[in-house]
Amino acid sequence: MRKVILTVLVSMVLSLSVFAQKTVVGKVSDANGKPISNASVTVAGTKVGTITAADGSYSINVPANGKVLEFSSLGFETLNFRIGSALTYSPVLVASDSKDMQEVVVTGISKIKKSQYAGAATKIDEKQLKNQPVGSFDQILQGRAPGITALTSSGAPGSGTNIIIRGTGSIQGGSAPLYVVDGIPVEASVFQGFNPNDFASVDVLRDAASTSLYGSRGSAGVIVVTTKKGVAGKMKFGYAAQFGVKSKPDFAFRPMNTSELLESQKQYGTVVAQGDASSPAANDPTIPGFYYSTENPRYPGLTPAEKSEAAHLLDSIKNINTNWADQIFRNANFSNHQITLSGGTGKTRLFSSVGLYNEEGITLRSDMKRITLRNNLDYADNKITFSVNSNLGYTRRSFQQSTTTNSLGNPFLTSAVNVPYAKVYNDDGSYATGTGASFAAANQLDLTKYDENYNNQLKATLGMNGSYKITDNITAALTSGIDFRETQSTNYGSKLPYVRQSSTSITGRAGFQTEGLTRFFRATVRPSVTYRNTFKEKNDVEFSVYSEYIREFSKSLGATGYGTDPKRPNTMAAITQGNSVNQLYAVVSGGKSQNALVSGLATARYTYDGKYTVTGSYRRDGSSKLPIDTRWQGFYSIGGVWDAKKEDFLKDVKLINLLRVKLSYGGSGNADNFPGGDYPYQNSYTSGSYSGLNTIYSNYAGNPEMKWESTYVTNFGVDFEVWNKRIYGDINIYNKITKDLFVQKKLSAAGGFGNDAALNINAGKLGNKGVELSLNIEVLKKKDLNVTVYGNFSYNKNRVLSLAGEQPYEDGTELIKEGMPLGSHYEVKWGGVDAATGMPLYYDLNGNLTTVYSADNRVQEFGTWEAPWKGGFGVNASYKRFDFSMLFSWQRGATKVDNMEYFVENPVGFMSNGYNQSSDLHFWQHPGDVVNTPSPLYGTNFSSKIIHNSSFLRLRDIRVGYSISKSLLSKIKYVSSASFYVQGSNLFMWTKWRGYDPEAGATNINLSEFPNPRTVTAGLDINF
Amino acid sequence: MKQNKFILIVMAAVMVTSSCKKDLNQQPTDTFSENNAFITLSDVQLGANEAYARYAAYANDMYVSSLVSDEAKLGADNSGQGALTYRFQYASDNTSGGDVISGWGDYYTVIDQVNRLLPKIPTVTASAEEEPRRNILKGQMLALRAISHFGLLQSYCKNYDPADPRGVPVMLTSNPIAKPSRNTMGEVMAQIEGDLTEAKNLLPAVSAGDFTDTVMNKINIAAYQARIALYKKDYDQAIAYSTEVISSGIKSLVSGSQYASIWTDDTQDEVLFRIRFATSTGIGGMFTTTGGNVYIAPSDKLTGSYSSSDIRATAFIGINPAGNPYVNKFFSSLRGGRVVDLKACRTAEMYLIRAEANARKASPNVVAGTTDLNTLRSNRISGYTDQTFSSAAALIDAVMGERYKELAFEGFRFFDLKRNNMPVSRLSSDASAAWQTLPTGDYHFVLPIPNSELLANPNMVQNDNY
Repeated sequence: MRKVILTVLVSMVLSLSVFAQKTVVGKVSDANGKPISNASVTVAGTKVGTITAADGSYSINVPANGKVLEFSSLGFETLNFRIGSALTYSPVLVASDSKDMQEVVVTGISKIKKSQYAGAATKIDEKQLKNQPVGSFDQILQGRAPGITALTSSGAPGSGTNIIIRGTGSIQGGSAPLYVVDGIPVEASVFQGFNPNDFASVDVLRDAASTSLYGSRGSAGVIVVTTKKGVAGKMKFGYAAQFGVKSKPDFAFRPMNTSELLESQKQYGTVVAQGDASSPAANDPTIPGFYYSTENPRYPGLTPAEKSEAAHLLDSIKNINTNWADQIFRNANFSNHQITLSGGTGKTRLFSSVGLYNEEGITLRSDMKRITLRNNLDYADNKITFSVNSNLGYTRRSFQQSTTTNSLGNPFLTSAVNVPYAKVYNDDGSYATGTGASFAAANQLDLTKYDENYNNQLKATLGMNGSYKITDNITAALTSGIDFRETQSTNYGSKLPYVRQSSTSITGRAGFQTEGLTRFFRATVRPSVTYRNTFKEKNDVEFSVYSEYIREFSKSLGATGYGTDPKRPNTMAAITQGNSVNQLYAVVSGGKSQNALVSGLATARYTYDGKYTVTGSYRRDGSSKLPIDTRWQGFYSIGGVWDAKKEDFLKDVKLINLLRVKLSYGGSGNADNFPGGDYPYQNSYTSGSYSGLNTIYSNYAGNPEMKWESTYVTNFGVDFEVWNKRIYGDINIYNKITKDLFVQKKLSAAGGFGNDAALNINAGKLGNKGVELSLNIEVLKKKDLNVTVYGNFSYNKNRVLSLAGEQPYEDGTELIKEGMPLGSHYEVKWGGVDAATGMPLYYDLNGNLTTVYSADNRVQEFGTWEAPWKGGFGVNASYKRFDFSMLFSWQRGATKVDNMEYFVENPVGFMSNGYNQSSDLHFWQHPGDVVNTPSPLYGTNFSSKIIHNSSFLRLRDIRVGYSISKSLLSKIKYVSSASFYVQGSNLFMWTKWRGYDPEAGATNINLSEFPNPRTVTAGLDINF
Repeated sequence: MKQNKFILIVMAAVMVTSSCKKDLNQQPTDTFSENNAFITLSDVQLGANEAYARYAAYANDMYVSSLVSDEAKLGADNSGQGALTYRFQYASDNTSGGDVISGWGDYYTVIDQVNRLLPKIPTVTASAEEEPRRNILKGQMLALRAISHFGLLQSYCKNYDPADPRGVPVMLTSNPIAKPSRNTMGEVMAQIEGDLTEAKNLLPAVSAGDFTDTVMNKINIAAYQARIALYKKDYDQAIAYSTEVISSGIKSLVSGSQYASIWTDDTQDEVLFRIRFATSTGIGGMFTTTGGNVYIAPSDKLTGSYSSSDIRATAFIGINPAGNPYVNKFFSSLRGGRVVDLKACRTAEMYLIRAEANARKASPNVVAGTTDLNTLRSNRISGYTDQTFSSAAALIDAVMGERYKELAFEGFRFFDLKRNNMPVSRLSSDASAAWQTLPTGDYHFVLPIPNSELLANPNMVQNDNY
């Protein structure tokens, strides 16, 4: 009875809120006396609560029944104060020493306490992100989070990384994750305009509990960047500087030097000419090692004068030994400067930073310069939070004409295949250019000298987040933002380089100037309402409704003019106007496109007693990319968390400090990696020409039943801390199934698109399942000495589960086939070289050796480029004022086609045509030779001979730092902290791969790409 | 108060979202859609241009007919181009059958383009003076559809038998995901003849003054009708249609240097239907690359068939600086380099059709046939004296020999041998023993349906033995 009366009374008290209450004030600070803003102050057991201001102060009306004040803030232990008669409570919160330090998972749409998060996410913190000498932040991720395949395709400054989360989830579409910066989705793979030193954290979201929040766009995983915010207090200046050198990494491949090559040519000629003085091989001056040799069968027939001439020529060739790699590679400078301003008073905080980044590539004509300007403004009071995040990045990048193709314009290929007995320079200092294989590298250098190829990119990302607390339980919020990029590209082709002057085409001789402009614009608006309440103390409920509207526009314009004037290099003004006489017609092209996405999202969470949490979400997306019938699609997720440590039976188990079990399931789509552009469901027609007449024709058959590829992930995870919180980590097991997978459906020629036409249809099924573990061990934890060893490990098994009756089909070097992992190389199995005859041997489908190469004998026994095993491990240590960290990254079980080997270990067609070979070349010469390259009497085809293990272990990062003591600094006015460091990236790699870099280039095949450089930098960080 | 604010915000959010819904109806800006590709008759004309461009599919027939017959051999610089085809080693896959299956896909792209246009022609807008063009375009498109179906029939079916169920699928509407079955050869022929008849009815009469050889018209349709009638062994019709062309006086036979200039595109004499290659070297580079490599050369048998006074010998066969013979008939033009038009139908064929039909018809007219043959020969051979033939059979032999000489590399020889149940027999100097002969009735006379078609279309039936 008394209880009832009390309840009634309390209700009255609450509803009237007039009497029987008192106002309590205070300041919340940390152990160092720094105020803690945004800490929450609640009266336990009531709905009364507030947050602290920027100076840590708060004021709260405590109802009569209020007995306990609860102070909590991120990163700190929750503190309870019993309310006595005092009216001021100023608690000092102790930093949480929980190793569950990633208390909040930032999903980009919401922030979820890790204890209530049912999925798998990894946070990469500021410490790991800052001062990494790379121009694109995605390069930092390799080895730092489980479940990620991160392969940097090029060592060119500012290159992006191919990130695949939990295995490739699409065949026809892409696998790039969705990137979100401060709540605003941003264009994937265009990160040169962001300064990673501005980042506070990067959350890698891998399972449906968070990816389903993004509905049609989340299936490839989500990478969420949170940028730095101002720290309350007086304005502080910071300056950071970093300098360094980038250099050529070591690799196993070495081209032959002059004496090796001449000897090899002699051996080649001896085998091929077979003693016949009139054979073509005996009379081929492109192989001087044999042509001028005394062992050439034509030699006895030469006159004494010719003999001495031959000896003379051979001698003069022997004296030239050019190491073309030295000509192509250089030691490159690196510098990075940043000025930051951080601070705030009262309710407003500011973080500003200006960054100046300058990186040279390790080959000529490759560099990146960047200026970034970030301004983050935050405001918070009892009712309103508001933040504006803006970033402006201006980047200029220069490029080699070609670094990813099997062309002699690719410096990494020409340096490998150009003969060492060719000169670099003529006597007058110009490049020793000419026609023929031996001039390829000099011609390439000549082009590099005259031509220019660069782009200027302006990237602006603006975000605005605001929330308003309508009642104690209801908050309305609005997130809106713009992602904008404009890239202006310039490519100048002078008419002066030798290859242009000797071109047979009119436009080729004339030189060219190409200017391109592409623009990308995306606006996002996301209003939401959140209701949160606690019932009967133990029932915590949160419910949110969002709607989202995204609009994307893109536009491009390109113009190429011919007939450039070398006196006015690199300007469109210098082109020659085309006419029927000179035939130098300029070419102009361009286009535009757009799309729209409208969505509704509801999320719900219920937590009981902090022990059990159930979450759910449902999102419905409407996209302009889909036909009306399938335009709206729904995606849901459900999840549960059980905090077992809070159960009675574990409460007193001292060994276990945290044990949390999580289960989630849900779906999402692959919209951002959609094949077919913005209108893939529509038939389209385009214009062409027929002998000077214009035409209109159908160029694309739309699939009117098109819908999203949808991925459904089941995730089971455990978070743990044991042994006085000195061992901690998490383990996740997942099963990810892509349904409605796009597969190529072959079309009848009667459909009008010719033989072999195909249409993408949603019919297949793809599976990825695996396990991810991350583990941290604090080996030493003493006052002056701390050592933590950490590592993460992932295994993923990828399988094409169904092609829905469609035939297996080839795609690049692979065959897409049910039961096989994607990326499985499809090639004829190499059987070695017949020691008796020197003939190449291949396996046929029955496993028998044959000398006949047939594409019909291709099999899929050579693995896949996507490594099933991967991870990273390292050490973080500190001793007094020194700190030390080290990260290794690795992948295992991957194979890749080494196209370069096909050129450099292939005397037929390559050595015979005057190209250099690898010093590893050993071809068959005599019966009984056991070698891996056949007799030069026989050509070879692409076979498994050139598919090799591309596993690697890389010393990704190593760093030693020193912070100057406060006592010393106190003697220097104005400086509040200062630290120095020396850092190395990619210093060593252990791999069986013989090309430049197992990571670089296409994922499946090595096309002699730009290797990732070795970098050594030193820097300092000073705060004033 | 607070509640109201909340409701306002929610309402605002809902309104924003719902007003955005209309943005979900986006239409492409860089391409045409099904709805706006063809609005006016001028648009249809652009579509028709494409249909003509695609009839370059006939070049496949020229290439295959040369390779799988006795008029060509592998050239001096050949390193495998067309070799499997030449050796009768083709099958339905892309590797070995690349040459012979191309026509299958290519002819259907012509047919599809026509089928996309035909429904538009009556409905698109047109100005008053354009109005007559509706029927003209319809007629032209029907004719292209007919001759494309005929191209398929000739290559991918046995000799004409109306009851043979393995004709080719007749496509009359555009449907990218169609999985058609094969129609009987009779059904295909009925459609071809129907389309040609209708086309002729729709097209205006032409005179020598307004004849254009780059579009289908009453005269060149009659020429195709003659070719098709001969194919189906309807000799009276063949005589009637070829007479229609010859008697029109349009594009009469020429001789001497005038004849040679046909092949350099200097004149369009004798040319009844032509696909233009204004900038492309597709035809000029077909047998000999633009770099001058002779991949496919005239056979010794063909070279030997011309007498020294035959102007065709030099018009058709050249000798390059390395001393190797090459196909001069499609090699270069006065317009520049190796840019050569595709001559798909010529008057000379009409004389040969009429001569053959007169010799083969139920009651042969050897005299009439002989006259036509002599007329053609006298335009080709300097100092030619008319010959006489003792029998229809002798005349037929002579006509077949003359077709071999006159129409070499123009896409006839292989189909002539097939039509007459004759073997391919090559000289030993042209081919190794293993591929000197393709015996009469060999299954390779019927080209294979591409593998990709069989995989895509469960209703498709492969030809015998592939």
